[in-house]
Amino acid sequence: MSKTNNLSFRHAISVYKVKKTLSISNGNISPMHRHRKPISKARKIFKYTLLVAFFISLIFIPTENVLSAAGLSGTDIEYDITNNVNNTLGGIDFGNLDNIVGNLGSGTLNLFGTNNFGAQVRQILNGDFASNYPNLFVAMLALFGGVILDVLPILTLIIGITILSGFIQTLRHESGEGGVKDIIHFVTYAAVVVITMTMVTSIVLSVGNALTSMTNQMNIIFPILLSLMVAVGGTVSAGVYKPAVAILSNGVMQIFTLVIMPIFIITLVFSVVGHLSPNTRLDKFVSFFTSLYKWLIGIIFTMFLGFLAIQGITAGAHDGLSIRAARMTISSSVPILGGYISQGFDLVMASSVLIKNAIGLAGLYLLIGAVFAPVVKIVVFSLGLKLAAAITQPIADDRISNFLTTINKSFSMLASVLIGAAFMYFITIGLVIMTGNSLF
Amino acid sequence: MNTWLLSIAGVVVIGVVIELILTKSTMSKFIRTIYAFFILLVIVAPLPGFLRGNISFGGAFDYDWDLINNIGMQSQIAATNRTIIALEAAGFQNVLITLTAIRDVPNFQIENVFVNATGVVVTNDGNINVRDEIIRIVRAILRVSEQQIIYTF
Repeated sequence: MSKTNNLSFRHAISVYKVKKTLSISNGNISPMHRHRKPISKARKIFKYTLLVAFFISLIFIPTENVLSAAGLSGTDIEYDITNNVNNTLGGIDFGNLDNIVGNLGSGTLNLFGTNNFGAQVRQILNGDFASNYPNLFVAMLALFGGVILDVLPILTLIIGITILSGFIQTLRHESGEGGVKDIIHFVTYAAVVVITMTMVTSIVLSVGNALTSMTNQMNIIFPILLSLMVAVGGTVSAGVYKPAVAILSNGVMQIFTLVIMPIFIITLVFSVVGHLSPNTRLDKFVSFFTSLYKWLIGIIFTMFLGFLAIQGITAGAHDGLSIRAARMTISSSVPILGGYISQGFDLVMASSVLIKNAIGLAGLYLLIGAVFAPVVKIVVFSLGLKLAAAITQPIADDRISNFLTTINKSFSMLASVLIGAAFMYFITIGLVIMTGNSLF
Repeated sequence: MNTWLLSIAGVVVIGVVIELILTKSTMSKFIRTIYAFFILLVIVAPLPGFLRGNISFGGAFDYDWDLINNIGMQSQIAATNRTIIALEAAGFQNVLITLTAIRDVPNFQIENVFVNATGVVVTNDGNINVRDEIIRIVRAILRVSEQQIIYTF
């Protein structure tokens, strides 16, 4: 190649900028050469002027900055919510609930954490309840230990009397009349029944008190929760839960107290009496009342929980949709730009929802406090009776160990009444808490 | 019911005692049979009375209207304050806002908004229609129609 040609080739390169670009087409990469023409100065100036004019013009476009500038900062919102919460809480009377808390036993009071319902609600609102969990477990263990210590002497007495009866039966003369055997059994049985029934009566009374306490709690807490739900706009939800709550607190709890508990007591008495003598046979009566009890419990649970489940699914959605639809309808008719603008009282609604959830949660704690002690007593005594029956079976008359086993089976009925009622209350209050949260 | 259960227990106990006392004879079988009928009678006799008993489901409770009114009042105050803050941020000072609302219904409803702009001080620059701008801001904040706003200047 000549020198002249080299020069011209270099000149061509300097004048024309060769830009190699790669293009991807159909997955193939191929190099593409582009020649870019030089841009004139005037056009550059024109381009930059347009850009500057565009940005300047953005300042003058009317926006809703004037309203968003009036928006609240995070600190303001927190202050407003705290104020609203305090004002709303001040208007709620927790006196009756404080009385219920005061009627809890000392061991149960430790479960609840405080002797004031309003203080518990404030603790929950402040988020302090999580720190109470270690104390809660300690209180539960203490309660458990206390019940075991109460039950142990009674079981020891029962086992001792039964063993004594077994020894006496063994030591009596074989040629003695059968009447002596019956008398020994009658006396032993009577002693065991008296001792067992003292504990059974105490447990039945505590279960009755727990059911009454639950009914009172429902009658106080649900009006507050549903009123708060209505105040935040959940009218349909409140209307759905109102009959369910009324049926639970007035109907279901009454059936439990006036029908189910008496059926349990009848089976208990018939069990006691039926084991007195081999000629007094009442086990079929016991079986009839047990079946009646099971059918009643099953029907009540199925109907109530089924109704609640169906209503609970739709209640919150309806209110949430209507509130959001109303917002969208109104905001589209108002000439504004942008989205959500607070009406001002949404913070009041939000604080009402917070209070509703806090009261609901405190109500659940109170429920656990009211129910835990009787359940522990039932469980411990029931296990103790099984143990006593197992120990006395090889030693004494079969009728005593059969009696202890029958009483133990009856206790499962008592436990199912209490736990069933607590479960229905728990589910209802949980649904009321969760439904109101979807309104925003 | 306590009386009924005690009577059953008492009758059975007496029956056991009688059984212990009675010697084994032909008569004792008849006595046992009759006594069994007697126990059955004691058990069954009060049952019709239990079936006639009524369980009332009680009345449904009512809402706590004081609580609902209280929350409604707070909402009203919050809405008024919020509107005043928004107007001040937009440059309209000394605007008096009064809301009338229906609080004793399930939903808090604004009836009318009285806007008293007689002493308004406009701090923002610009050629704007004060009345239209105030009404627009009030409508945006409170989500009411223009017919619900009563403007006095």
